[in-house]
Amino acid sequence: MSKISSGTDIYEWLGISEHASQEEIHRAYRQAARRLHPDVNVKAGATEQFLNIKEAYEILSDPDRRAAYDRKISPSQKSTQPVRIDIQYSREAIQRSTEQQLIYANIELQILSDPDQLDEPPPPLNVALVLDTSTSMKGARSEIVKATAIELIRQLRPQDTLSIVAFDDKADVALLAGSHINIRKAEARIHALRASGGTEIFKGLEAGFNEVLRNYRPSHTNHIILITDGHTYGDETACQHLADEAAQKDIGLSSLGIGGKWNDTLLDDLATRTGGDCIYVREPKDIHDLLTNKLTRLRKAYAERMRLDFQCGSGVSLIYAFRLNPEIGALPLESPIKLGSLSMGGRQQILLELIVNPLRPEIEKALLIDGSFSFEIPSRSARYQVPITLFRPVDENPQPETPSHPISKALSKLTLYRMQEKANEDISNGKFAEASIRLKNVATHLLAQGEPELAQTVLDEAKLIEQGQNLSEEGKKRIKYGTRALLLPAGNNQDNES
Amino acid sequence: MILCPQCEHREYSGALFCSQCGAQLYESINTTAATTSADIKKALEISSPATPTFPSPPTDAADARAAIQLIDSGEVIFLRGEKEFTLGRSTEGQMVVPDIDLSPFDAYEAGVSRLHTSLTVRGNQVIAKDLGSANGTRLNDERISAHEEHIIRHGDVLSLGKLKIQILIRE
Repeated sequence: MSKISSGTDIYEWLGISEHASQEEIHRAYRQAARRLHPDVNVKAGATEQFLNIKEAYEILSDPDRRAAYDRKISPSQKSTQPVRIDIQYSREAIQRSTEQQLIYANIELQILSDPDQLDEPPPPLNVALVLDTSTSMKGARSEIVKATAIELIRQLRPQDTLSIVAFDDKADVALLAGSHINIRKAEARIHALRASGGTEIFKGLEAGFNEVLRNYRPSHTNHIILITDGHTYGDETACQHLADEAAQKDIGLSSLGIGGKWNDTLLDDLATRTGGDCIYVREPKDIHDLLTNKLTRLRKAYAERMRLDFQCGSGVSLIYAFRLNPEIGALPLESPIKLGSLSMGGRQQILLELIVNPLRPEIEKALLIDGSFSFEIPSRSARYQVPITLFRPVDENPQPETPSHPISKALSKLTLYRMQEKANEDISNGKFAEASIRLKNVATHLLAQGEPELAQTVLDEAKLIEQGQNLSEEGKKRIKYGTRALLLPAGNNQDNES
Repeated sequence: MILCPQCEHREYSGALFCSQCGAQLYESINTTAATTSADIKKALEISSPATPTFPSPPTDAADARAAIQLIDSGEVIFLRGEKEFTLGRSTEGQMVVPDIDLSPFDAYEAGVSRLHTSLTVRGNQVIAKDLGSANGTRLNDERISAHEEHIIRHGDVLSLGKLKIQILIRE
């Protein structure tokens, strides 16, 4: 005796999208039930409505029945998209208000495993390692980088190409990319690299970029990995232009920065522009594991060239975007956002902070973001586009509520990362007292979250500022990447990743 | 605009944490108060996170003698009155629901049973009992037998499956 025919949209009844997560469904139901329950609402039709949402809920909360329903409403496309999208919001409704207000959305996109593809080898690598061989790299840093590079060459599969560029104030291609490498020769060549001269990152990146471009195949994972320990002087803008060009051609750019004296602002920015990541290497001994991990992640790529194209709803602006998975770091606020590659079963998790301006009175549903994720799966020779729409109903008097757990958990940590960013801004504006207070606040929260070591580093730096000094370069990076690492999924700490 | 109760910084309505001092700006489910930065400051003075102070309960839970704190999120749930509280997670259609529903804290993923553990508040004493849960209860990392009463001290950590909570008892 089901009243639900194929013409009705039960997602609509609950005011949720068809990508809604189980938690969203549950919350939407509870809210509607509170409003419409016959005990509290005696308006004509309320009981009928209550029974409808109850039935809708019973269907959607049962994965099998939900899948059956989904097939019925749009039998054409649903089953062919190899992804699942979950969206959570910091609140159920936008308040009808004359003020600006904030809302957060957590978007998780998972590439579903495809049993037919499990045995398929992941796409071949086309990677350029761009190694800093300036004077400061002399000793352990340079030796470990060289040893790791040699190890990576030995691990190459026949279909992979790897080129190695060494740079100081000039760039030199130490190993040309190609599938037929003479391993012994290559090793001798890398051993012979000597650390001397200054650091001109652009020259290294340019040579690496040309190598990747020369061997570029759309079906490959094309990536540049920069390893440096120094500041570059005067060619930052050229590096940014190069990153944009790489992003255009869907070549990712990731960096490993060793020690305290490299330009984290620049290297983070290059990663943001290309969908790569920027990794802080505290001790030279960590180079081996971090670099090997980076290659392993690239090697697992299944979906490639993922991007999010979007448009904000009218009166809505995106003011902060942060990626929590698979890499962590701030994202650009302009469409398209490049997201790089993802492994089979891998998750892309993005947190958006949006400002909503006062809405016109006739608007009952506020459109926040309208757009789509697109990506390729080279092993299937297929390109996918998955629409995504974020909207919230508008409510005169929304009930106070607790934001969903993933959002509050991520924000409790992201707030600390952003506070240390602000402290850095304060310092560059000469506001030392503010910076010191902010850092002390960060330290108290770190302590409460069980991070005594990082809290101590923050307190030490706050003391330096109080004495009228700048942050130490080492401390600044430990704080930045330490607070950022809090956002890694549990058990996936960057320091002990295996 | 809303004002941060800790530092009076102005934030947009809808903000969840103060961008100035990091204080939490929303109230939590079941909890009448979460860890405030004042509590954290107290913890800082004591300097060892292992011996937490009993957080000051809000006025409507002023009589609470005990509280549980979720280790992962730091959220605090006050236990009001002297009685037995069941802890677990609720699912649709469940006949007996726990007094304290841990579903919002990823209880399902952590392997928490529907009725997992009970905490009985008697005077200044808190007694824990595993209710025959599937994944068991651990008291300070030691598994306790089902339906056996254990006296809890302030600061003890209980693991329900993989979900860790710390028990806070008022002096």
